[in-house]
Amino acid sequence: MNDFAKIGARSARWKRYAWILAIVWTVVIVASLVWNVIQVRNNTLEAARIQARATYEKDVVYRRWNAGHGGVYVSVTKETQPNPYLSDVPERDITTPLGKALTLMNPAYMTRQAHELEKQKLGVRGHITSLNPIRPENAPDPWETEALRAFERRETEISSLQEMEGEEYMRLMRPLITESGCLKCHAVQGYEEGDIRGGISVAIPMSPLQAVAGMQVLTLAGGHILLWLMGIGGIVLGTQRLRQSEWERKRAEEDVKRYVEQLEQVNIRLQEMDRLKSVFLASMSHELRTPLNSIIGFTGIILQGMAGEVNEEQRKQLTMVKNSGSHLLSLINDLLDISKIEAGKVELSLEEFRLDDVVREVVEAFSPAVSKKGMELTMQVPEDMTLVSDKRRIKQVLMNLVSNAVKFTDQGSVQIVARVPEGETLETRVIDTGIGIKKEYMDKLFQPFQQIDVSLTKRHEGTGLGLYLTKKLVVLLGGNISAKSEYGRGSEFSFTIPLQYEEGN
Amino acid sequence: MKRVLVVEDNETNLYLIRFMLEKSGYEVIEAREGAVGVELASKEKPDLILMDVQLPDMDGLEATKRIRASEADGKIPIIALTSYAMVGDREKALAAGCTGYIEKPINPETFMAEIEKYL
Repeated sequence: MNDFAKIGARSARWKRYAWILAIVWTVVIVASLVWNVIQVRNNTLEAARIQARATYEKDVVYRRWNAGHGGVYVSVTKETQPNPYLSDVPERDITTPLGKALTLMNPAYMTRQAHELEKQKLGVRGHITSLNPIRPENAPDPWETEALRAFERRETEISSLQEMEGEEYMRLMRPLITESGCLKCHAVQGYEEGDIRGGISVAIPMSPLQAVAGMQVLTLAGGHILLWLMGIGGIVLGTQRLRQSEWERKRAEEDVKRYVEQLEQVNIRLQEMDRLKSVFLASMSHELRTPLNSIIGFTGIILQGMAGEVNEEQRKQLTMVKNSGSHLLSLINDLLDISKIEAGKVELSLEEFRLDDVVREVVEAFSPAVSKKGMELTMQVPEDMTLVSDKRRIKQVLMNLVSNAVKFTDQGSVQIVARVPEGETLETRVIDTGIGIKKEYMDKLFQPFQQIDVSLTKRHEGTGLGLYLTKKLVVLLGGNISAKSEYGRGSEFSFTIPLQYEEGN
Repeated sequence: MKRVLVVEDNETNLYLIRFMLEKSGYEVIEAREGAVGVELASKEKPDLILMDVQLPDMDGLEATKRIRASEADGKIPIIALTSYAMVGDREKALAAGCTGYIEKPINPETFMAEIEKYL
């Protein structure tokens, strides 16, 4: 799968997440709206009940007032005729001294008239009723009958929504308890104080309350739609932003990848150039050696007197030419070795040999120089120690180190100490009592052309490549080299190599 | 007088070697190409051959192999003049049939002594 397909897949995943989020958001908003609408409806019903209860309480209060007064007298009008159910009551109808006819109005009659007024003015319906009514018109309807029966089961309030004459009402009914004032008329029916004699049912029209609730629901719906839109907008914007940043990140990654590829290309070119440099160096030094052959060869012949007598001055000058030639040769040899190692063209020639043989050869090579200086060159190498490695390279390393040690030591000694401190590793140390190395030069020791302390350069002519090459050789042999020194007291160079060289070591 | 065949393409080196050998009392036969060296080796039957490894056309190793192949009786010592520059030259020289090797550049102080080991 390529990267762009990956981005596509990821983009599709973002889209899916966005859809899921949008659906969840919608569900939350709808749930909230439904819950709120239910609350509004409950509140509306509760408000209707509260209004109904208030109406009931008011009826009860003025009924009690009326009953407490044993009824009140009102003028007889066309609408207010004497109550036929009070015909037994003495002085039901009286006449004022001025001849105005009055009739006694009991709580039930008064309530009925009040209910008629309420119905006309407020649309609120009241009904005083009983399962055992004195006035037949006060007989309960089916809903009231149910409620009255419930009161006999000790219910204190019944309410529900009912449709009456095509309109919705909150009907609420509470019992009427027989009080002392009631017994004046109702004792005949056998009621006693505290008995449930009937009830007052109140019906509150729902339409005005529902109009208010409708407004509330509309406001809620509007708010929720706004909220929903904001959420959806946020999700859409967020998803787009995420997808965009995903693309940008991907593009940045592509850029980085391209740069890395370019760098790799450059690196390959550099490595190739480096290799060419090494090849160039190798063939160049070969070409340089050919004329050196004759320079060293002929000065040698002349110095040996093979071409005739040489006087002292000529000998001195020819010796300088020969030494310069030899120095140039060792420079070229070192350079060649380094370029070969760096070009990866060095083939190790492995053989099994005794270490003490190699060290002895080195000691012998330096014995003329050492005895001339009046110093000691000693070796401590276990006699039976054999190793499998490149004998010539190990000798080269030792020659370089001992050459340095002898060069920088005027009195005292140079020791070559070899041992196997652990496992399969040989450790060889070249210890001298020479001039030592200043601390500040220690980390430059194994770098090329860093012969330290300029004043020494003239006294101790070197190629400047010796330790650099030595380190490369040791690493090539699978080992490591390190140095420690005390300025003015001497130096110790130590290298390790495996006893058995293995490919890839 | 012992005779030495020198196979060497570089005039200066050839002169240097010839000079030293003649000064030490040897007769020198020169060859500047490998093929000529092979031819002279069988024709002149020298006491020693100094063979430069790097030669135009046929190199010293190939020439040595051919000389060894054509020899019927007794081996002529062949000393390879190897270059320090070439990795594994000495091993290859010995494998090709050389008796010994001397590393270039030649050191006049030790050169004759090394040669006389093989004579």
